[in-house]
Amino acid sequence: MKKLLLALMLVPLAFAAWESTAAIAIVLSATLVGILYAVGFGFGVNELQLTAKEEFFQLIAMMVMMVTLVGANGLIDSISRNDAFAQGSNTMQEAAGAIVDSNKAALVGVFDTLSAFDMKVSKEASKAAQCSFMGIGYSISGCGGFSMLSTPLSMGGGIAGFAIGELSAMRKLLDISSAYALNFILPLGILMRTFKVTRGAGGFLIALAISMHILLPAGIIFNEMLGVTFKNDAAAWADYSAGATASIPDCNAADVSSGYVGLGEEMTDNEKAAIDGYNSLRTDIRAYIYEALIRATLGPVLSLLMMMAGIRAIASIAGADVDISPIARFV
Amino acid sequence: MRAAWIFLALMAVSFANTAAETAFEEQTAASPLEIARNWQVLAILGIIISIILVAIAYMIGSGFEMPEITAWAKTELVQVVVNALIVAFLLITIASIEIVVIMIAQTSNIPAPSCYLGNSNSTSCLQDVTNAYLEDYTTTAAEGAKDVIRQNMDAAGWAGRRFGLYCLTIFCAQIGVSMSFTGHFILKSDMYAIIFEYYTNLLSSMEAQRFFVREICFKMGPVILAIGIVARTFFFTRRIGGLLMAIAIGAMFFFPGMYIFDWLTLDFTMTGDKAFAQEDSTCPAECGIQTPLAIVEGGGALNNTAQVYGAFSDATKETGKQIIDGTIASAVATVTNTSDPLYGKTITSCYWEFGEAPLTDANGKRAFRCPQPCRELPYPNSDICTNYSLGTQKECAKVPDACKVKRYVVIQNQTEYDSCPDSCKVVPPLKSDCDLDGPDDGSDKNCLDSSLECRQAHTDDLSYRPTRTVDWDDSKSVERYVRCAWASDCPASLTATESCVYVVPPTGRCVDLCGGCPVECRLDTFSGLPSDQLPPTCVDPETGNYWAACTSCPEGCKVRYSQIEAKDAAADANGSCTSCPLDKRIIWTTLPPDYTSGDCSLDACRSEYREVIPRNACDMCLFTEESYAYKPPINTQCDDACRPSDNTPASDPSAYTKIGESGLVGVPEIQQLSKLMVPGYVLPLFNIVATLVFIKGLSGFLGGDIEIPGLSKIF
Repeated sequence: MKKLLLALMLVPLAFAAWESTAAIAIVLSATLVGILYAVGFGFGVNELQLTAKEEFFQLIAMMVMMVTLVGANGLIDSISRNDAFAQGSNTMQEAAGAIVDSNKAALVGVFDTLSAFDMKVSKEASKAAQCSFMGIGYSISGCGGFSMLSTPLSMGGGIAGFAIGELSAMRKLLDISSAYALNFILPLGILMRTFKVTRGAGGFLIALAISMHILLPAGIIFNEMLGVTFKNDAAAWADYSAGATASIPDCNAADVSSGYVGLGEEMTDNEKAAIDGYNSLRTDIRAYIYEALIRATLGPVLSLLMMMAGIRAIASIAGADVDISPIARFV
Repeated sequence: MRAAWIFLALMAVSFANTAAETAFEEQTAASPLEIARNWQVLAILGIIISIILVAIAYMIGSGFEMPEITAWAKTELVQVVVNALIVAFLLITIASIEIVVIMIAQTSNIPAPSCYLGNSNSTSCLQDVTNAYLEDYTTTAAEGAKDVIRQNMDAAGWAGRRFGLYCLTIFCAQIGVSMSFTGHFILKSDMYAIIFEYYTNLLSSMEAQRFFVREICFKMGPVILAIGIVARTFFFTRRIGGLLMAIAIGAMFFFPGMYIFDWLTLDFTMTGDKAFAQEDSTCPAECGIQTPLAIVEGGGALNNTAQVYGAFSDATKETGKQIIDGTIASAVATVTNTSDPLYGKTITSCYWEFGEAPLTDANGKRAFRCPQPCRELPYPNSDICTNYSLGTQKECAKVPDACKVKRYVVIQNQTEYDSCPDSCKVVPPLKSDCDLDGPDDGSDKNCLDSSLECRQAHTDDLSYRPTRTVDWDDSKSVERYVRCAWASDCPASLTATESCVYVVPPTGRCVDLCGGCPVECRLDTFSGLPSDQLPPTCVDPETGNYWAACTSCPEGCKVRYSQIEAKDAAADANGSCTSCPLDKRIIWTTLPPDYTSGDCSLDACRSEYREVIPRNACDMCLFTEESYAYKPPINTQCDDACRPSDNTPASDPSAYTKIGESGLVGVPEIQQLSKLMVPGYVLPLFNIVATLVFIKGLSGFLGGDIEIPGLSKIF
């Protein structure tokens, strides 16, 4: 009967505001506890009476939690809309989404730049010169060594691609949290928290909902604020914000001269071109490192860790001691 | 008593203001986060709120007789005090770490400006040392990578060469064949590609560490620390606060500090266990003199980085750095203390290269045209200093005399000095600039292009120079011959500071050098005595004077009268030689009878109280310490006598990559790469693990979480 009632109620409740869901759940639970106590009292079953008393105590605890959550609802809402966090957007969730979108756009730019470099390197490396006369031919390729520059570019491309994937996943997680954290997961958690058999899961869902709604976007915004600290050092920041300036020099396929490089001696033109290309790529790395390392890698990791730490802390308050280490493996 | 200790500790903290603390204040003040910017106010507010809450809880606990709440309140009250103590203890620890790092850096002459300045600078010494370590390795690896690129350009160029033959007529169906006769270069090219990939990974690892240490540890660390302090104030955020504090301290101090450990470990690998070595008392004082980095107007030299930085105020520390690396020629000392001997003096760099473009060595590091080991006189005869193609000797000739080290013996042993007569001493070449008449000025003198081994003259013939035999068909033999002949262009003088060659005493058998001079007449005092006081055998019957052969006999072949006198006291004390005249106390295989009989018999005057007549010129100097065989006494054996004298790391961490080839096999590029694996991969990994262990331990101590979410994923 209880399962039937639960099943009947779950569908509409999923779309209701969480406060009314909670009230209904408490009333339902109180009714069930009352019935349980009545049965125990009527039939003289002490165990049922004791269980009913214990459940009643949990119900009171749940009500206290509800009152706290109702009170906290305003707090959560004000945190979400706080100017410091929202940073010009309506809510902090929107602000976090905007940050992730901006990071992703920047990284796509980095990826495109790296692709262009890779194409140029491949083009230079494939250059060859040939001469033939009366059926006798001789071909040379003085630029084959350029292909070596593809290694760091492919590594850079891998990192940028991974970071784009990470940011995309983070954006999706933010969308999920905006859509379901308060509207579905929190009410479901409260509902489950009400009943003995689902109390642990309920506590976890409450913690998950609050953490997803507040701490996940907060982590992204917090990382962005830490980034400002990073930018405060104007001299260092100049290196990291200069943008792409690298260029791959042209290679002369017909030049296959070789030379010994000693102290103060000159390299051949092609060797110098390859070294210059490598040097300029190395210098350029700094222009991407802030986007790739701080914003795209550290940011999502930080926000996920904050969310998980929040789940553990809130879940323990909600009566569900959760071992988050398996979840942490997703980070 | 306990309160007194706390008070004392807090007092110490109130006066401590290290660079790390300055950086902490600066970074938190500039943070956009309110919690970091005003962490002091928030922490105090937190403490006040905590005290109020604790008081209320205690009141309720006492009023309603609830011992749990009372106990909780008491515990929380202790935590409030503990929080303040932790902050104080933290500042003391930071100051201590800073001082230790500064000591290590200063003793080892690490070029980190922050380690030589006062506390007003915002960059900590630890930060500077870590940057220096990582930058050194990154540069070394980058240069290795560039070298591989260069090699690969060459190898790929060869591998890409193909030769083809094609039949042009239809009768052979225009068949053709194309082949590569340098296909094996593909293998080399592939090998270089693999090595380069390793270099790329290595550089990524080291660049990431460098970025983390430089941009995150010391910039975000202070902000996280401030947040942690505030969070730890409140009981409900104590665990996360403690963890954040531990993370910040681990990142700001422990992790960078691990690089000092790495440095020491690598230094241990290279130079052995210096930490437990006994103090090397055999190293003479003159060997400890360092090559000057700069010279001071009016005389004096600045021999180490600390002294150079000491001449400049904190605001102009970069000038000190430029003097050290020779970027500028000179600068006026900006030290503000008027009683300082350097006040207002012009400091001239010893490494200024007259505005010529700076050179880099194979590892991409700054190289000087006259390297530091070549800045000694007499000029060292080592490969690095005698590189004729680079003109190292000529470059070193341009370096001012005051910028070079002359290792004059500081504490002289007169007895040892006297054991070798002046006439037997070698005059070392201590002239600094021997290129006065170099080939570049249009003259035909080539002293500095001459072989060092041919730069010799004799004390009795300053024009003498050794010569080499030549095979005119062998170009190398001709070159050696010509270089040796050029030594005659080097000035020789009996005054060391005017000489560019070693001036050595005559050598040879005394029988040949003193032919015609009887052995009993070879006493140095005889040449100054009147004939009637000389033994009869020492007087030329024709001239009535001391034998001419004895006069021309080198001093090194004569017995010194002073040495016989020196033994007289001991002889008297032992009742020996009492009636034997001093001039007869000599030993030789054949002597007149009155030298070996009667009062001068070997029984009456034992051999130990006699002087042996030299068989070869300057025999008496054979057992003289080498330093005293020079005039003036100069120590040329410092490398043998002395080891590195301190227990601190060498100033160049990547020196580890320059160890000898023994024990390593394979092509040089692979050897070079393999040397970087330990400092580039293994030790940093160890650093990270050690830092995480430290964070977990400290977090527990600070009452924070000891489980860091997601950590198991990383390791």
